[in-house]
Amino acid sequence: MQSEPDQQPKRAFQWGFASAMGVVLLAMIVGQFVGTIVDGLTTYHGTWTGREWVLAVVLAGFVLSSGAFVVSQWDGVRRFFRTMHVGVTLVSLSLFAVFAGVLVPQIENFEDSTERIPSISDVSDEVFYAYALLPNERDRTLPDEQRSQAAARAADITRGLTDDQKERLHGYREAYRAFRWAEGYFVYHLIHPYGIGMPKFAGLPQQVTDGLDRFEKKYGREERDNREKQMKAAFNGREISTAIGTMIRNHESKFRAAFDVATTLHLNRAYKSHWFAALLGMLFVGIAFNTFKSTAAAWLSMRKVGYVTVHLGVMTLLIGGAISKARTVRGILHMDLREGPKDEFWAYMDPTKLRGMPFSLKLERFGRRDWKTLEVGFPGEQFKSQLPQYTLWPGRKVDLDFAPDARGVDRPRIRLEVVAVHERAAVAPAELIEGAQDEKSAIGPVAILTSTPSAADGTPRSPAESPKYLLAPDRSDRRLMYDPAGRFRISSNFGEDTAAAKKILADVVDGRVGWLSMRVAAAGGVEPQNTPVKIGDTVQGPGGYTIKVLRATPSFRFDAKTEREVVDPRPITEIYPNNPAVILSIQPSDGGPAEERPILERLDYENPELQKGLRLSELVVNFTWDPWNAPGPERSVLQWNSSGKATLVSADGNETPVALGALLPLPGESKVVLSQLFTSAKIDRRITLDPTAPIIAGPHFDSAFYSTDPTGVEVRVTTDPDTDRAHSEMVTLASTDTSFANFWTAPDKRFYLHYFLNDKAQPFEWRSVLSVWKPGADGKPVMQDAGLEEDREIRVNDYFHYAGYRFFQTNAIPELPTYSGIGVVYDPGIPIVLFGMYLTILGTVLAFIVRPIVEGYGKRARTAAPGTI
Amino acid sequence: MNPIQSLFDGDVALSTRLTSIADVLCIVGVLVCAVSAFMRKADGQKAALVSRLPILVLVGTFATMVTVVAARWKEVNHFPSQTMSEVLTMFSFALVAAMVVLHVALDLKKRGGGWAVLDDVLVLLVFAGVFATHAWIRGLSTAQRDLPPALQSYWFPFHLTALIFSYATMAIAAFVCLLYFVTRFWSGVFLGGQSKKTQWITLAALTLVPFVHIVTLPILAISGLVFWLVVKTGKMPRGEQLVALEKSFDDVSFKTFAVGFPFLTAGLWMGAFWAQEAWANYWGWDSKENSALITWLVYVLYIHLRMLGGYRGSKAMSVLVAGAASVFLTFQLFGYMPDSQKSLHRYTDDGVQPQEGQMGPAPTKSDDQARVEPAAK
Repeated sequence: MQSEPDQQPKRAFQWGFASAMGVVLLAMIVGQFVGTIVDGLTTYHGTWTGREWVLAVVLAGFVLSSGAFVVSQWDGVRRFFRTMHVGVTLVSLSLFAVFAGVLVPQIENFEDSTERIPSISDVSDEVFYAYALLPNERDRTLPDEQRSQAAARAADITRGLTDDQKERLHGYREAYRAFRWAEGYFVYHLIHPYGIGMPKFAGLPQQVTDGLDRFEKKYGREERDNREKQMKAAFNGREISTAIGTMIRNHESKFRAAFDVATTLHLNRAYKSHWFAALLGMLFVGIAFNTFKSTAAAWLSMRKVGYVTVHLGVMTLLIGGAISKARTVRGILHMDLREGPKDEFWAYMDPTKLRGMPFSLKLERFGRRDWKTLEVGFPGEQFKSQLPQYTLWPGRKVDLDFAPDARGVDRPRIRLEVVAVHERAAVAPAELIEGAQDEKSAIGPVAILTSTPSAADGTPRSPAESPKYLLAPDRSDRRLMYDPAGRFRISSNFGEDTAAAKKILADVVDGRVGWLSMRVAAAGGVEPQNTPVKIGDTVQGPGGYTIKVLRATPSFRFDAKTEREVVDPRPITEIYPNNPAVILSIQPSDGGPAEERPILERLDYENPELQKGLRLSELVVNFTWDPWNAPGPERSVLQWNSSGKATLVSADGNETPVALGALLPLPGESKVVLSQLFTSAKIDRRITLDPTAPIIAGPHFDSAFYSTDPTGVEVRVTTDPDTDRAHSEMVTLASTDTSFANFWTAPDKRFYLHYFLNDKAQPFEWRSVLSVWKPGADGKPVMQDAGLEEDREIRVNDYFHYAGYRFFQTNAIPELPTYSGIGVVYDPGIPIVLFGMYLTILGTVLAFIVRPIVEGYGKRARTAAPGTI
Repeated sequence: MNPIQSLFDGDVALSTRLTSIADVLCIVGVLVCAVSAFMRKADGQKAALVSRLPILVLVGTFATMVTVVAARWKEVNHFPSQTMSEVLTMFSFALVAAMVVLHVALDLKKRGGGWAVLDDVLVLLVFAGVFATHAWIRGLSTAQRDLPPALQSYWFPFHLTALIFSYATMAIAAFVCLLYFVTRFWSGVFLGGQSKKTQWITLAALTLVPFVHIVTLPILAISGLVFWLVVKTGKMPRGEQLVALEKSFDDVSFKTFAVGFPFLTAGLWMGAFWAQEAWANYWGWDSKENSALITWLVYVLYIHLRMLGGYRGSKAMSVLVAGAASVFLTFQLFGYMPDSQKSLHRYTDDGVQPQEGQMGPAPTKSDDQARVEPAAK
């Protein structure tokens, strides 16, 4: 019988790229909805109401109907997943999904699947945009004044809002601003490829270039080039930042709309979204359908084994990833050596999300090792920029101080070579000894005075309570002794007679309180203008500013409660200069209102954080008190000569001989004794390096790592290297300022070495040792056996694993040496994922390297032996 | 500072000076390859002595780059792949190393049909690429930086080496594809036989894609001149020859890819192993990790299109070029991506920071040394 034309077999639907993509996208959307329902039901902790029951029924219905569909249409489903177009679509969409997360900045703590951008649909746009202009009032890095102004302004703008709305508004704003900057930065660079249309860099100011030229002479061409590149990037970066800010402001509403779209579609938490999970789920199913197509024997054939292994690897990886997604918790444990066991950590770094562990941990040891660093300074240069810092290791050579040789080629005049680095150094108090007259390493003439203030009952204090003062006439910072009781001050002079001492007294500039050092930062001002000042002086500063010295005080005090200066009622001459300051009135050149500004000697106003809060912040002013010339107590000069004869010369011209061990005839209660005199003093540093101290960088546990002993270094310093004038000296330094063990000055004073452990940058390493505790029978914590210290030690790249939890070193705080930040992870998917990754690597090696080689050999064998099989 | 100056400057690091020697070798290599290519007979007759020079110069450049890397390793006291200049130096080294490996593995000269000439052209492109990379490095800081604790891992050299070698190999695979596309384009221009649509698409792809055209435009321009000369000799491929060439290029590009893909896979997952040891987090969805994963997925797509979809020839080679573009994005441009602002891998030293009170919290973790006060001190 012939078949009727209308009964011809139906041709199966041919999947193409468009139809495949449609189905997969639909599945992702459905997956997002289903996931949201599941989230809603599983995180709801109250009694279920009608809403929850409806959702549960819908969910159950969906699951059942989907299952029924798959079973009934099994052949179709199988054909769907085995179609090339579907496979390629799944891979392509996975690729685009990952890319979406690169194009949209992910929110902070996106790893916390409950983290969301708060909704502010109940807050007006007007309030939001006004609030968005303000600095973050909770940002502790801002100066106090700025933060309090921002808080006041924020309170004003959000006046009509509830606490919940304010909290949501704050969260939304911070997330939006991070998004806005990231997208603005990206879009700006996208529309200005190769820098076309970006602000043109005008070049470094001449003063900066001149400074760099001098810098090059000392530290070398490469160091200069690197410094110049950084400066150009910083200069240019500011202008580009401004341009990006302008672009963002001009398109604010578009950025906000994009942010809201990204939030709605979960693009800013793409990798934790349900649509992403649905996509990867489909990918898994697709791989499974295609991997197990042929017979098991075929899987092991050379042709297939690599391909099967890769796919098995990816499937394993996806299974492990799913377990990780469902079960992972991560956070931070804040540990301190002074505290007891803790069993709670901050999940996802959020202090409001505390998670408990079934055991407690205690920090037993914590150590931080910083990089051993050397700084080389040239006192004659006074570079304002940070000096280069050289990390030290044995064998490292540094060439410095370049000058052209006879052929005009720049050659170093100093070579430093690190001979040895030691993990332990002992430093005994240094002593001064008499050196030879012309000894280059001598620091010059020195007198040591011992002050023995009396106790309340008039008895002298013990030697241990008697501070020593070192007077070195050749050192501007060590020339003077100032009585702590404020009754006298003594300068020093070395000479054969008292004529020079008398001249020092005659040359006093009465009333000079100190020097102002001023520069205008915006004009690229590098070299400051230094001007001596008296109270009442008016000086012309840089940038057209007029500065008047209103007042000066040797001891500035501030009452934090009243936010006012506490003025000492005593005469200025009676106050010890323990915190000198001047109060200035600064008048800008445009005649605007003057700013009254106190300048304290001990504060470095080069720090931009200090400058930010000032009204006329472009003018940077520092102050140095002049303890000799400023109004103060009686002046005298201690003079001595090479024969060891000392004389105290007073302001009225009286000369009193002073013997060693004798009291100086000075006013006031303080008793000052002349202890020692040197014509050419030399520092006898006592640094002992311990070559047996173990190297702490090894893989095994070493308790020496936790020691706080200073470290030491031996450096060979060679001047004029590679010439016949070369002279080498071994210098030993230790990382403590006891007895200046961390400083060494060249005999000709041309340069100095400063050795320290650099705690301003990333450390060399942190390590912690933890112990595990559980409650005993009486409820008190009992330490558990969790292995040796070596097993319980945590380093970066070597975590501690206990009861499914992993603990790793995250951070430390230099100002808090007992603190250790310990990251916590609970993730049962880890071993499965890692196994899957190894399988994938193996599979690609088998498919792309082993197979061609094996098949190549086979082909050659067949070609060589025709007729054989 | 230019390379000649740095060669003789005593206060410049040894590795920088050795790089200048490598640059000189690259210039010599380009010249030698060009001469060799023109002197070879297209029918693959045994090459003149000058035709052995490209591989000799290549080996010499390789040896020089070995000393560059060794010198830098000594200067910084650790595996030299921390800063962008160090990573790019490693990349240029890997380009040379990959070309040496591929030269042996592919043995292109035995293919005949002009492949000896194409071998010389490929080596020429590698020399040009190394030279261009070094020129770019000269604008970057070469300051030594201490390794943060996370980088003090035995995974560091393996992860970096595997990835950078794979990037170099994929770049060479892309060069192979580009050579095919320019050959087909100029054949169409000089001899016809190509549809206008194909020609316009090829021209647009080779000239308009930002950043990619830094490489493709010069190749297109110079190849145009070369093929104009070739047309005069009557050796320009056309018709059936072009079809055969397409198959041949496709085969070579696939084999080149096949050398690099296992290293790409291994390098990608080694990063995960390392992250697991450092932070017990094998995959933090950091944008650098994601960019590398995207690159891997592009190549996975290539394999599937080729093996399941039967894609061959220009279709398959287009995906390979897209993969190389993804490598470039991962390697050099990812720092501009929105999600990269807070990435741990971000190298961009452009000094661009959000201004306070305006943009929210400072997003980058870039090295503090780059944030120098410009009114320098």
